[in-house]
Amino acid sequence: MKVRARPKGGALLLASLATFGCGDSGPGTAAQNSTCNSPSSSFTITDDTNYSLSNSFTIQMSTLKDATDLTFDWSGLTRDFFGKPVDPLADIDVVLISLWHLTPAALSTALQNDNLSLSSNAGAITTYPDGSYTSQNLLGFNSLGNPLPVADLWKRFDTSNPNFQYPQDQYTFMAMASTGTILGKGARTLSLFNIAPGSNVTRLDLTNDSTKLDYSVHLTGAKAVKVPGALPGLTIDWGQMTVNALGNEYIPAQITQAVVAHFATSSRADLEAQFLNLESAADGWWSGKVLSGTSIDLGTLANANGGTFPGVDGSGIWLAALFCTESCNNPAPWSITFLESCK
Amino acid sequence: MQVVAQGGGKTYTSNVYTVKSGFLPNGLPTMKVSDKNASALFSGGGFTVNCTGIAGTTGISGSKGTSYAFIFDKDGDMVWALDLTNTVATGCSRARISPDAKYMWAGNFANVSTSGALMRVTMDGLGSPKNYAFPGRSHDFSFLPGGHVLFFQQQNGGGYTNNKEGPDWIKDLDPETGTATTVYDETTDFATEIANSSGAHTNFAAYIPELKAVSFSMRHISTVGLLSYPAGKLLTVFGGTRTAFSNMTWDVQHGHDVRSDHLWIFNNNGTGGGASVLGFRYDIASKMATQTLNYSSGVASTAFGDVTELPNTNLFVTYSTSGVFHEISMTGTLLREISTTTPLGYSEHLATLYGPPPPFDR
Repeated sequence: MKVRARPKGGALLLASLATFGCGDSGPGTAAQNSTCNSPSSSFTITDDTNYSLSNSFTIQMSTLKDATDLTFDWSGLTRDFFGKPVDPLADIDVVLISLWHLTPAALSTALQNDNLSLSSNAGAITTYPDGSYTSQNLLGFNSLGNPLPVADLWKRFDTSNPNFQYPQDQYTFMAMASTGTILGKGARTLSLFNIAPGSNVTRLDLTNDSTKLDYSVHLTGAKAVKVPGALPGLTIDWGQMTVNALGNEYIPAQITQAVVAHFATSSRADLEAQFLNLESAADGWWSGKVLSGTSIDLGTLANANGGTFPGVDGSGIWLAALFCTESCNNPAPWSITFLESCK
Repeated sequence: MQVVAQGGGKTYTSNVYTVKSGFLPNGLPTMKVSDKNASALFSGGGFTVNCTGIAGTTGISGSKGTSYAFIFDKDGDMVWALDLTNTVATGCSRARISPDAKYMWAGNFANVSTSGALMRVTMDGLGSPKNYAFPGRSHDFSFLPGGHVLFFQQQNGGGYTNNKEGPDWIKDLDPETGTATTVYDETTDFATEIANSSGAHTNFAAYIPELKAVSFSMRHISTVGLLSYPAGKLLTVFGGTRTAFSNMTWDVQHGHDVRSDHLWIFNNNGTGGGASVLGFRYDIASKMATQTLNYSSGVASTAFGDVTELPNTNLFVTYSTSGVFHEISMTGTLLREISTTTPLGYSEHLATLYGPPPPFDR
């Protein structure tokens, strides 16, 4: 199912792109049931139990005037590319302008594949709004909160500067407005631009239309896993996974968060339609940090009230989602596994 | 664990002991290794000590990402790591193994800040770390003879005075007593240059055993100074307006490696769209220098970055903010590239985890 993210309100799944379903409202494919025949409370997920996800960004591209104290304005940003409401004054904690040795197309592709290599980065400047402003001029930006020598700034923003080394057919600037101040995390919108002496555009507006997100999710091919009912101490093992939902390498040691969710009455089609609001739609949501290794006892996961995962039953849909939260930019779960109670 | 020793024609076998260590955390940077000439690598690729945290430590209130000190091996596999996130060294920009190989030390970035701190923890990660708070300390530290620690500290105690960072002191810490003594006051020889700039912004310091000297880098005046140790007398100046060598000019440096007759500079604002590694032969007496290398790979590191000459004469280059390592020959041939997804601090690269680390491995 292809979806364009639209305003829906409510909470997001970890403020994430995390998508369900492919127009299939029926049950998943045949469940793996080895656990039902074994006294073990452990189960191992494999690539065929996983969902798949693809996404693409359409990011506004501009050409701005070089050697100019440009204005960057995010006052018009009231919805992020997930469709979540944004208060431009209160919610934007950092605006980052970075320079990449990539064309706009290559940069967009790297973003959608969650494969934007830092080795292509050629520098970044920042501003940290304190709730009192929604625009900043170029000369008002800083370097990680510290003063930025103006001479250093013009080496990247003045094409006539003797030290300018960034031909604009090879390099692209990216403006990112984010919630939270950890660079590269919590993006709410993006905009790309080049600079040129012939341009008369001196202002870049970050708006609801700066970034459009399209995504496509497939769940129908994912085999459900049979697990003993009413058993909290289930251990999920992801050590045999090789490919994540985006089609990239599944590196087991990058899993840092686990979630079990229960939807008592929803169908897969329902979940698909609510995919950006799964946490708020769930009847049960237990999460926990994965400190080390390739498995976790789901009985250690807890909900917001401290209640621990009780085990699955025969009602509705149960799923286990595993996340890479440290080294990944795309916050979608690397795997989602449907759990079905043994008869 | 069992120790087996042989000598005098006899074999001695210890009892079997259980060793318990901490765990290797998930979420560590993943290293992607690409070899161009594996047979020419130092020690087959060796071990690299580094840390993460500079991306989440901006000095801005509420900004805090995870921070780890780690060691990875020749294959890019993590073999040791410690979560620093909730320690004084969070926002780590430098980690080093102590000369006696008993401790891992870590220091936070603490750029122009009062939060400067160092921490040491036993290599097994168990027990309580020992913390050292030095307001105005930042970026880097290294080891001096006798296990002492070399670091630098803003003279204003951290932060800006009249929008300037001002000069630093170069200091010598006795880790057992926690006492730090001043080796050198940058105003002794560079008062004018620092005053005419926005400050010294000292960002790297190292001990050079063969010279019994200390080198230190002042970013804002593109200068590396060389001091006698422990006397703290200026021996010579590389780069900047005070350079003793007229052909040593560059725009901003961090890491460097000074040897008795040559040096390597990590030049942040290099050529080719990235940082450059510059090499020079020099002679203090004649004040003559010859450039031997300009390695400009196009990879950037707008802050941090370092270059170290390895015992086999290869150079180990770290592009910190791009998360890239290059091992190159001293003539600039790329032998190996390692890349990761996270900005890094300065590197320590060594052949073994059981011998003295650089610079005491030469």
